[in-house]
Amino acid sequence: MSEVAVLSPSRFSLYTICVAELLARRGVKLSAIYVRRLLNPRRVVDEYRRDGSRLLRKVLRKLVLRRRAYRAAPYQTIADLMKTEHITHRTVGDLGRRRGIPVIACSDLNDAAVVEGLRRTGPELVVFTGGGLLRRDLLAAAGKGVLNCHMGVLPRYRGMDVIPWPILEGEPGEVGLTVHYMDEGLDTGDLLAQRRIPPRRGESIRQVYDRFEPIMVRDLVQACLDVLEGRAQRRPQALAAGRQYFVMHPRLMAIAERKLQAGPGDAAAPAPP
Amino acid sequence: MPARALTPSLPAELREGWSAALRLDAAVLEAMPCPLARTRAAATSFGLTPLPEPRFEPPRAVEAASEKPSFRALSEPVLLTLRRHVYAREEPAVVARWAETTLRFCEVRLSSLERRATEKCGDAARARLHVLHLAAFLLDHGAQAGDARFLNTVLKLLEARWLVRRAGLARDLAGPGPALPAALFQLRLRLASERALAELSRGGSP
Repeated sequence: MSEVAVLSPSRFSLYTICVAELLARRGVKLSAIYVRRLLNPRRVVDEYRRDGSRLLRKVLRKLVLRRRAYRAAPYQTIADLMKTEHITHRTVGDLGRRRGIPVIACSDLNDAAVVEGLRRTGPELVVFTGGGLLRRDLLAAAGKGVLNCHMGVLPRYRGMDVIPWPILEGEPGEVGLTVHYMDEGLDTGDLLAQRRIPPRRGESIRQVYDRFEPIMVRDLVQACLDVLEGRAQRRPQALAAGRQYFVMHPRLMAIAERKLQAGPGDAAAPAPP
Repeated sequence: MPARALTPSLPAELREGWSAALRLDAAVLEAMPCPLARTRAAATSFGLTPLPEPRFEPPRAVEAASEKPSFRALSEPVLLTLRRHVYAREEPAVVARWAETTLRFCEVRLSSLERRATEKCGDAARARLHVLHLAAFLLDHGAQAGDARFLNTVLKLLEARWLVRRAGLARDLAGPGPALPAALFQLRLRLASERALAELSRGGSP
């Protein structure tokens, strides 16, 4: 049986819980889940520098409200996915205890203890569900590599906020998801799978994010199975065809939001309430 | 020349600042680093009386292509040369390389930019002027390339209190003084970024 390790940004991550649970249900043996500690001053400073005031909203959604952050919607959210798949784990720790998977806390995913843990257990593949850039030592200990699902179309849209950026640039058709291997760069590793999912008319950017999360879970799990079963084909990115994007300023985000509300979007798709 | 009707959405301090700039001597405006060069479009878009276009003739052109782009190597002569390239629409590959490197540096080092600029320039006033000049280059390049990432970074820079002093703008613009070049760059950046935002809102490029 193939062994896979999972890297997680937080023990409360619904994304990690869904990916790990669905992999386990499909017969993948999980060697360990490495989870970044939340109460880590360096992490708080780094994330505040990157996200600014948005960090507070992120904390509220991801740590306080969690499944309650998702309202009833005419599309599936990650909370709906958990309901339909009967995934009841409250934390990554719960999942580990119930399934007998070691859950190892770390300050940073690049910590020596994580690298050493991967070297010792030698997983065939590592699945990334968030937690920052990865360094060479960790990547070298990751068997066939580390898989990530990027919320954006690569190679064109690398980096942050690459859902609103194509909308702001008048390219809503370039909104989508990409599963790729991670390397030391930012979203520069070889591609595995990709889908473009144009936003729907009248949808908000938050709704697009919410709609994409369960699709990311499924695409990442499927790509993982494809790699393990030898069906996946990796292709290098044409890096010159893309740009790196950074966190979008609130004034630009407001313009992107207005553009999305006004359309054109996917006229065939139903508008959310 | 009578001033045309002003756009109500333009902050009052910018309107007042522009009026103060109109009263400045042309020689002051043409002194390098020429903070208000190529501001006609931004001014007219808000119904402001444009300034006479100052000559933009950097005293010493440097070969920006021969330098490896970095924040450390981004001197005032390099910035002036890059701006001249932008205005003349020449050396696009060289300009794009410098702009991309500078954009990335500003984004990744935003929180430590003041310290790094002060270490590079020797004192806080020169550091402030240097970063405002750098921001003007980024904004001009972004406008020409139709790339809103540069506007995005400049909007973040304009929120840095060490860089932008809203309260003292009118006083700094009142006449020749050590704070004048930075105040003029600040005026230019805020006016040009407001125009770029308005263009984006209308569906155009920044």
